[in-house]
Amino acid sequence: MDYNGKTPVKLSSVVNAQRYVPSTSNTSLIVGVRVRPLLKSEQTKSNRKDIIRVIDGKVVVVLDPDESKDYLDQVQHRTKERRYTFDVAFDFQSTNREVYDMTLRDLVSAVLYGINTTVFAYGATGSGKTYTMVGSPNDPGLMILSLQQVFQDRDRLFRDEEFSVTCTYLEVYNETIYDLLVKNSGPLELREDPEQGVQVAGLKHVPVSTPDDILGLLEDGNRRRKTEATDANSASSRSHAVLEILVKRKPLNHYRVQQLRAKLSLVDLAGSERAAETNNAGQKLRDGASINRSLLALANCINALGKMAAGAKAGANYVPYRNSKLTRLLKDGLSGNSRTAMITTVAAANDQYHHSINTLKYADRAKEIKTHVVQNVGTVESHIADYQRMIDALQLEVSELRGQLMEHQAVPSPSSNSPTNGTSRGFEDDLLTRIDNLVQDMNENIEERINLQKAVFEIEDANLFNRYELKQLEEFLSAGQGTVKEVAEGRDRRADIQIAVRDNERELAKYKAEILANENSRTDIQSRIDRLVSSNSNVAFLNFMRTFRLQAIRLQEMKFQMAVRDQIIFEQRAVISNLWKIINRSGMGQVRA
Amino acid sequence: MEAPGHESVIDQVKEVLSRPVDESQPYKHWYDASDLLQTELDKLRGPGALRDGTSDPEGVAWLMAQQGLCLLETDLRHQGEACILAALPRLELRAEGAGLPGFSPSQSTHHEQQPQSAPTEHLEVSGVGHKAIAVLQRCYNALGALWSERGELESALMWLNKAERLYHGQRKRVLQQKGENKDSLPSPPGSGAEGAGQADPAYAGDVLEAGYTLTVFSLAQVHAHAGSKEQSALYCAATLQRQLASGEVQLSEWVQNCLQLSAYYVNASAFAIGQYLLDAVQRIAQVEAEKKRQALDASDGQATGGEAWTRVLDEDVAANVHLAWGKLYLYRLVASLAYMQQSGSQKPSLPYPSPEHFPDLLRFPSLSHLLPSPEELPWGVSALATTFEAARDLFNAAIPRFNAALEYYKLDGWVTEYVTTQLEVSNLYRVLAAFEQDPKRCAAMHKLRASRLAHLVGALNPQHYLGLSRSIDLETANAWRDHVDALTDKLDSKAPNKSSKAIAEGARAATHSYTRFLNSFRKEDAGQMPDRIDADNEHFFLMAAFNLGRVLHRSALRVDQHTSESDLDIMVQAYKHLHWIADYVRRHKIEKMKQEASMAEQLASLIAEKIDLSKKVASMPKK
Repeated sequence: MDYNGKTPVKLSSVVNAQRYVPSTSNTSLIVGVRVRPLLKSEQTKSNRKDIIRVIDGKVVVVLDPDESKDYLDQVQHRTKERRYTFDVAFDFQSTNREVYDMTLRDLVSAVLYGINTTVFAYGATGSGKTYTMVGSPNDPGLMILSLQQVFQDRDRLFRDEEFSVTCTYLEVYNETIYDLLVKNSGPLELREDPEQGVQVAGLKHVPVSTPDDILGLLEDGNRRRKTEATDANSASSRSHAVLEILVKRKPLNHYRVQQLRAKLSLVDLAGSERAAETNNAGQKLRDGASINRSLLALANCINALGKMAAGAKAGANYVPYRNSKLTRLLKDGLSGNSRTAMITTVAAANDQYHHSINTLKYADRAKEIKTHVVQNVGTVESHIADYQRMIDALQLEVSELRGQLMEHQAVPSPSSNSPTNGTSRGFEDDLLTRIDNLVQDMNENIEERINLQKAVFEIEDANLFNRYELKQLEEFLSAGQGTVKEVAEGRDRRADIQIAVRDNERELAKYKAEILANENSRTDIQSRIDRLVSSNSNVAFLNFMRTFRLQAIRLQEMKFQMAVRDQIIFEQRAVISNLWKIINRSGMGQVRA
Repeated sequence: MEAPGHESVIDQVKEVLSRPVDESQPYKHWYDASDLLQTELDKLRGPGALRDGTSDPEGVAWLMAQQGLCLLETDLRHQGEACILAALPRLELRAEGAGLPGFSPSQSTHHEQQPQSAPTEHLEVSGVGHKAIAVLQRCYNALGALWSERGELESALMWLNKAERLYHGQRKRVLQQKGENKDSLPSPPGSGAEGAGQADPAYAGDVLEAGYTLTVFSLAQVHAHAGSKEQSALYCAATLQRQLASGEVQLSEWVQNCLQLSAYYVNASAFAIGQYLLDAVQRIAQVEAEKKRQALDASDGQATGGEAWTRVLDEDVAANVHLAWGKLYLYRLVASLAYMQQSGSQKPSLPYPSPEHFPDLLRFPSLSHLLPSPEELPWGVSALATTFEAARDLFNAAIPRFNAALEYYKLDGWVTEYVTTQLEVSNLYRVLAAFEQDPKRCAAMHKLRASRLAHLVGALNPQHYLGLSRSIDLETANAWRDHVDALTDKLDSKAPNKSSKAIAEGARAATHSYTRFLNSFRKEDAGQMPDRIDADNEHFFLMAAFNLGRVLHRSALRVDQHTSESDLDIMVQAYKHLHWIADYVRRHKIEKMKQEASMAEQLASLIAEKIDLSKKVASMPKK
């Protein structure tokens, strides 16, 4: 970015680090959707029906839940049917293993090669989120399957290496972090260490050597979460649970090989019907008394407003946003060389239509993260300006160097050094043709200009002479000394000259207009030259064009000046000759001083 | 209309709803409440009913509305909505009969689009009690929320606008009854008159006030979803004011929200309003601090002046207040520069150009005696600096604020906040330097800017803070590049060697930082650059690469008979680098960078020529 009055600095250049250089790199986000079938209890209810269809393993269609549509709706084909496309979609028959294979398997493999991976499960309470993450003994969930694969890969690929796996399991509830691996955990502090990254002070890290080790820990943790949730009045749907699996491996006997470490974070997000408060008015907000104090809800709204204001480029907070423990916790795993997957769960029952739609909308937006590109406005121009300055300075330096050499030897032409592209013969021919045309147009323009200028000089000169003669005639006629015949001839002559003067003036105006047109034509040629130069990226030709243009213009200017000088000399001679004629006619002799 | 005779069922419903919620049956208490209301409804429609189906049509409407409100909390929303829509005509008819001509009975279709036209002044409510109005208000709010959830924002707005008109009508009626001046009555937001932000318990009950706060907040959300940012911000402000007036707010949370709202206006270059909100924050904190001081014994040594206000806020929020002030000055400075660099006729007008444009919804009436008058705020272009001295004043106002924030946001523990704030400070120096006419002083500022970041270079573990460490390298590189550019501008013809040396040193520092930045993209295993940089970073990468090409050759500025081999090596490196980056752009067909690539090639070609000529000059026999 430049400044100092050279290039504009726009408001958008007020950036902070996160926007300046995105923290994501090689980011890959997979969004998968899983549809939960109707439960037996739901099937028994007569008014419940399944309204979600999965097509081609990618498209989720949510049918219109209204059976009794208004007449107007029917005739106008108004429908609430919605259709969304994701990376992968799973219908009722899919098992946790299938979901795992299609979404996480490759990502978990990458963890062993040092790539951080984060998996989110998102969906309304009761949509099958926890089932997908934890599963059952017969159908183990993504958390269990991930760990199984870590150990299988260790046994298969890295048997001879130092290999360690540690786990943490925590809960973020009401912006407070609790350890789910210890009984009665108190609130834990989150801090950023410059070397170690994001740290939860006092969080228990449990070494794990088999998948079974973690199963018991997870069960205990979930029980703690559940227990606290009941006490806190339906709080489990408002808490996020994060299982982090830290994998370290180091090949033995390879002293130069660094230890590889990566983190697999599996996040069971709060129920989407709660988490989506910023996206809709939300059930909770019907409680008017609570909104008076619900500063958090307002914070979500204002924060969303800030993001809207800054547009897609946003991401930076004006002041640190307090309601962001989870974001801060996971930032580590979402930045750098990381992979992310979001598994969205929706219930198929018609009475869950709005929850499902809201969840799918959220997932649909998450999908866009993949294509998000950070723009940096205003820098392109400054680069060009800076380059141009440097090119100019270098040209000067080169010219000076060449000058120094000229004193000793002939300097090779600039183009002999410049790399030319041998494969662009046709392009060069075309360029030469265009240059030839320009040269021809330029020549014609200059020739026309010279002729026009000559014509103007001639007319002006003729009128100069005419006016001189008119003055003489006026004096002669007013003196009254001539004969009748002489006076009559004088009057006729005067009338002829007056007509000639008027005709000449008309001609003069015409030629001046033509000169103006010629000037416009010259400007046009000049701009064609400029365009040719600016549109051409071939350095050799650019240099050639510059040299040619300068020389051609210089040549034409010289030509024009010579022509004008010749014309003036010619005119001066003619004027002198005419003057002598007048003097002779007036009876004075050609007496030279 | 206050459902006399149904007190018993009301109490039962209240009791049911106050029970703890069973997580496995989250809707049970709502269903139970609905069942109780249904039983009461059945009684009214039973054998004792009149020929029209009920002996108490208003009671039925009231009970149905309550039932609908309960069911909207469950998965039976469709039924809940139907109940409310069935009850509304009777509720509204009653309101209309009581002098509310603005309330035509609601249609029970989902697609009703009623224009928001009825001005508040036409609404008259007489004989309708607060409780009945409150039920109507709850119904409108609930329907607004329902349609908002469905994503049908026009329908949501229609219901919420009804709720808003209802509230204003009631407020006006009570004020008229009290004989207050009609001209001072509130009008709906957007009409330019005050009202929504005030909570006056004299004309309506707490329930109605709480309901209206919900209306205002819901309107803020719905407008946000509809893309009406400005309207949304106004309603957010109104909600903030109502929360403040309710006296139930948690100070730090409220302040934090107010800071974020200020950010919205500052981002939109509405600096006066941004400052007004920050002033409000500080005054409220000061008032709170003063209250605390008075509550304590004066002899216990509590500080009363200065920064006492920060002690009533959570530490991070107090730091955020400083940050917000610092950023306000920074944004004003940046806007000043942009404004200054724009040519006369193209200069944009800033929003809210004068105090006359101050929206009433944004004012804090309860703080008016504490806050500066609107005339004292920096409206429109008056917020902008047009001279170096004015720019320096903004700079000097910002720096202590950023430093105060950094007292809390230390590197150890708050890496992200610390680094981002340091980058803001760097930006502050950058913009001030642009106002400086003297290239020498300008170069010194950029050097200072780079030195403030020096302790951060290499201080973060890139495995955990890749984005931040890259940002530090890039900003440091840009600071040195700007330093070099400024030195080049002032190249001293009397002492060319001295200038050249300083330029070369600066260019080498820039080269070092750009190289660090670019190397962070190398593959960990082989150390090679990837064939293509990821889309999020590619632009930054290319910009840095082009800049590296620029500063590289300046690292070897001396071109004379003394040109050293190392200088020539640097130039060769620059030549290769420029070709590489131009080739990258061409290979990946990056249209946006085509012109830069072309110029980079041109520059490379000139450098090649310069190298060649330099060698020839060096080999010439000395005279």
